[in-house]
Amino acid sequence: MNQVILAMQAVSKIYGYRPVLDRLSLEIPAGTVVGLLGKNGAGKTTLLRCALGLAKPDHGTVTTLGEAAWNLSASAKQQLGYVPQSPQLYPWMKVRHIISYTGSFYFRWNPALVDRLTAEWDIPLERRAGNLSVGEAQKLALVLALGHEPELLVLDEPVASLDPSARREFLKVVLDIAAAGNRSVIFSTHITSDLERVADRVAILQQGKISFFGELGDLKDQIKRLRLTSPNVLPERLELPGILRQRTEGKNALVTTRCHSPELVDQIESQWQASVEVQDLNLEEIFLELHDE
Amino acid sequence: MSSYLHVLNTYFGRWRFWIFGGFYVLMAWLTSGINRERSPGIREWDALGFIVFSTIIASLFMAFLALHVRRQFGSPQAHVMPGFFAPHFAVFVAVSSVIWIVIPWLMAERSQWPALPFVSAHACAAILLCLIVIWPRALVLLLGMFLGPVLIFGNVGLFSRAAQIRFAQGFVEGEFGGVYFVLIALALAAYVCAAWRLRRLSDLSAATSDDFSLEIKNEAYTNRASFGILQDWRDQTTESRLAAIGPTRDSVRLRWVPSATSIPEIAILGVLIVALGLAVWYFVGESGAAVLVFTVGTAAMVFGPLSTWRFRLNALATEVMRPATRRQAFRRVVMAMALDFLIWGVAATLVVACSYLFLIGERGFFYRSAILIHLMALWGAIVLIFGVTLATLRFRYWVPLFLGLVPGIMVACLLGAVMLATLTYPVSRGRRDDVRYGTLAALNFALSCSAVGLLLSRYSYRKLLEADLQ
Repeated sequence: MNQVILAMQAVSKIYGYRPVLDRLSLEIPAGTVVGLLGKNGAGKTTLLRCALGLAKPDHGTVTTLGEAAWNLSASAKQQLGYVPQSPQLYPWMKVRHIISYTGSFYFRWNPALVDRLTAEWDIPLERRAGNLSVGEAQKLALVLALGHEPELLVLDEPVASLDPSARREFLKVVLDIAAAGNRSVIFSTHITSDLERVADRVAILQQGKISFFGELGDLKDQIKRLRLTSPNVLPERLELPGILRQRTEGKNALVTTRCHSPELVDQIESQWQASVEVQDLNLEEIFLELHDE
Repeated sequence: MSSYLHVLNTYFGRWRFWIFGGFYVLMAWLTSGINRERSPGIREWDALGFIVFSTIIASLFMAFLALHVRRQFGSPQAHVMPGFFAPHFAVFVAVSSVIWIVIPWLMAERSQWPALPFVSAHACAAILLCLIVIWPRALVLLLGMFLGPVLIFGNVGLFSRAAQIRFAQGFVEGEFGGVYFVLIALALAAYVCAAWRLRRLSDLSAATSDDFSLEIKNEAYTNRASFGILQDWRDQTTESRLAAIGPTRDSVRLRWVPSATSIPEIAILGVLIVALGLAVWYFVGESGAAVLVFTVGTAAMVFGPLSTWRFRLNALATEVMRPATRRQAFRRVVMAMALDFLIWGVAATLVVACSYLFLIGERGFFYRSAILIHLMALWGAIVLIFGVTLATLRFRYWVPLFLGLVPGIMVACLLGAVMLATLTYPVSRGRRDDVRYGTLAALNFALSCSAVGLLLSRYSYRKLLEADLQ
């Protein structure tokens, strides 16, 4: 479990004058399902493309499956699966031809898995890829990425175009992959409920840096909303560590902090003689709080 | 600033307009300065020559203008913003009118010919502009702007030289009032149709209003029965290629598998070109017209691989993620592309070989040199188009780049080739010298096109190795 499947050290990527990734560092251990969260334009896709060697960082190093990402060997790519935001499928080919064509590249192609997934997801094998709906194309891209049972599966907003049942089925497959051996999945998404369901770690990307990387439970333990009620009027600005948002109205205050601890609650109670109610936040609320900083 | 000036700025901000505009004005200035004090017949012929040349350049310019206007009117803003239509359309009409009315008028003034013939000839460019605005696939009519003059004034057997000179004299002297009127009226009517189309364009999706309408849409690959046989052939080709790969992992042959055309389709196209050329030869009775058909037909075949590679060169992220190193992947993809071009080139060569077999018997026809010249030019063009394809097809706005680079480089190579041949054979002492001159010029053209094509390929391949992929 100590093996690192993806390591990024001080990675910067600049488009024009805009740094999309800014000295970003990240280490993802093998056997984890990592959800990558960030606002539109935060650099999620760029991060994934750097991890796969599709984009060259301007600074820093990226190591994927133990190799430099920019020069991944053929054997490393045998263990790599990738689904881009917009799958690129040869529009003139039938689905079954695309499947056999893709399968020809891999030593460890699992036709049984592919057959099962295409049947379960109702992918029409005799239709040409150009005629698939957006959702069907996305499902096919997923099947093609899963066919060789990769050690590392990288998914860039994979469920955005899927209907709820396909999404559920997809998430189940992701969980199956993660459960089978030491496989890893990295996926970016805006759907925080999906992430909560399958990801055991979360990476939050803000202003080109990873602002949090860790287990989902840790994130929820750290970020809490505190409801303060004091017999006295509370100051306009409460000087507390890690404040993400605060609103004070007379003797009441609502504070979101990223440094929650029992000691912090004790400090508030003693400093302002306030009673503190600690509220848990779900991932979507955490995301909103973090990005409203 | 007035909204009209804002709209005008959208034209001034695009370097392609400056390049083409500058080139057009320069050519108009140079050609219209040709001495009018030449013998009758020749001076009219010269004048008609520069009218045609200038109209062709104006048409190229107009094509880019049409794409620009379609993009403006195809945007959602065109539908939502109040008062969008009037300034945009007025500026479009004004800018295009400068190209087809004002500059030709000034050309005529400078060269002391009547203005009407100049303006009416350039009305063809305005008609083309409006046709592209109405239907972007009309871009292929640009080819017609090159072919039309060849058919009318070339030595292809359609008109005698005397008739051609009579026409030239009559046209530039302003004797064909009806022709001028029809051309200008057609241009004005085309503007009305374009206005109607642009009004409706904003209702359509962006996908149908951008300049990629030249490309085959994904939805075009249907299971329709009308193309069932062709599609079956493609499927069978894919299956047989996959079966032939066997257990080989990531080879050039495997990379070559996805192809939008099959060998039988290429063969049918070749047979059609040969049949059309022979039919023209039979009815016109001269080899010139047939040679023109074979030339245009085989030239069209050279562009065949684009249907596959326009898509594949934009799906390189998928290609690179297959199990191979980045360098191996690109090398195999580029080799697979070369293989496709080779197949189309061999098919075009066979067309040339078959076609000329039928013309061998014609008296005075120098078939050996004709075949040689045709094949050299063909393969030079293939290598050049391969290079330009690799260099440009990955770009979003590849159409103007491709349309600008291919003819631009070809014209430059042709000029260089002719100059070099002229240095070698400055004086013609008869037919045999003419043939040697033509062969040498074709050889120079093929070599220079190939050199540019290979340089572009090498440069693009190196750029690919370092490129970020989507």
